[in-house]
Amino acid sequence: MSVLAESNPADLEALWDRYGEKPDYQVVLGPEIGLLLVQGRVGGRGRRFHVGEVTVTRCNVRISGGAVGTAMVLGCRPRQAEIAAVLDAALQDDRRRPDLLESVVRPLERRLKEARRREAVRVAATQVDFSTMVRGE
Amino acid sequence: MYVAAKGGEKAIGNAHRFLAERRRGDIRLPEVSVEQIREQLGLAVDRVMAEGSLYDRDLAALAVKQAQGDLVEAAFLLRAYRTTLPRFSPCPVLDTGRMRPLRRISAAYKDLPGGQVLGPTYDYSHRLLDFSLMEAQAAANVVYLVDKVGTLPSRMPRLTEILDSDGLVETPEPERDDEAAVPDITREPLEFPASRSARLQALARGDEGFLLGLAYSAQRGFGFQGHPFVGEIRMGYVPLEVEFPDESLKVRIGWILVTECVMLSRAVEAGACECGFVQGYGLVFGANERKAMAVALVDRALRSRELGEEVRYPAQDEEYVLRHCDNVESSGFVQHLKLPHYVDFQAELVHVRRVGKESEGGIDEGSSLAGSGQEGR
Repeated sequence: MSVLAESNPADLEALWDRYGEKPDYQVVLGPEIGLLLVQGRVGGRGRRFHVGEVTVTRCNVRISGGAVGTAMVLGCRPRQAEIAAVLDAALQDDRRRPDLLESVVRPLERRLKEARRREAVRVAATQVDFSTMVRGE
Repeated sequence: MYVAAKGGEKAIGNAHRFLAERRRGDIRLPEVSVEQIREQLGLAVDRVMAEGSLYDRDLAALAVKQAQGDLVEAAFLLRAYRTTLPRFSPCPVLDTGRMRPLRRISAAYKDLPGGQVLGPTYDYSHRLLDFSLMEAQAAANVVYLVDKVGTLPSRMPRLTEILDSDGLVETPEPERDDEAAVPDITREPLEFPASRSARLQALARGDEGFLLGLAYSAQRGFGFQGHPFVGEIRMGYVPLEVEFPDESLKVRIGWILVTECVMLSRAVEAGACECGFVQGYGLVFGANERKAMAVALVDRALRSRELGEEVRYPAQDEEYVLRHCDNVESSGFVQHLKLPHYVDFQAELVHVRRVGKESEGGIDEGSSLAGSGQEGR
């Protein structure tokens, strides 16, 4: 579910388009755009305070067969929320699950992992390697 | 007191058309896209998200484009837009301890666990204009200087956790009751004295320039004694986890870029806190480091009252700071002066002319009314 929410919407859409046996579905809720009021903690650990609001899009669907799928994604992304909800429902079906994981979820997951890896390497490259200096007199 | 004036619909319509043309600029040049702004002017987008108090990079980039780069105007656009959206109920809490960092430094401790990680900082640039940026550059592979290959530890403990064990830094006040209402200044009016939570919410969305000036004033003695230290600055992506009610599981739906700053300074009044160091804290949306530092300094200055320090200067004055740090509010009131004040001004003119005549006429100020025949001109 995180993978679907965090993926680039264009990637998700492309992989979904290519997936052959899309289930029939009915949208039960949304997709609707709204706000989440996000909190931080004082000092990172103490009392909570509101930092601000984040846009999200949520959607619930029911696919033929009855399974209900739910999704929430960051940003104003109705299409992504809808696809993610349908996938969430379809993934509950043990027969569809392996194929869906293989053709949609895993490729997206690999892409996310690769992006994280690239970022981590760059961040690590900026770690300071202090050489001990002898204080001059 | 402004008055309503009618007429001017055509002028306004034309003003908007004129504005749109000026916004577009030279039509021989390609129009800048919202995606380009989002990607390539990320720090402008970050500032607009912070002051608009709305985390959405696409909307912020659109606002920057629409406002022709005027970031205060863009923040206003975001604030207005958020009022059109409903709030969903779960209130996720950001745990900055689980940040995927881009940058993490401490000025206080050289060798903290996880080390000093510079990230994509401008701090060491020489501030010379780079004319190579005047030409679009073909996307080339950037080659990094590597002397060792490694990754950072997955968890970087906070400096304050380390100092904690020596009892040197105050433990942030825990919440007494977990569901106790966290104040929301966008729903309830800000009252004084304000809670720390209300202050930090106000400061997070406050104008960077105003807060920077106040922070500077505090450092120069108008609010601090002694020298504050950057305990830690972290900038990176924090997971946003949402609870799905029917399934009672927490799902991460994405990552929010934030900057967090902890400032440490000595408690001035002995006995104000049982330990040596008092914290100032700042947490803002986006890569707004200067802002996060200013917020942490102002937070510290605003704690003077509760720490038993004498409150003498603006940076320590809660009402002064919190009432005036919101640039949408400040801009509104300052700019309202442009609204027609014609009738009032006529009254001013009459008054000013009358006072002028009276002072020209009488030689003896005290008997100016008695000698009113003497308009000696």
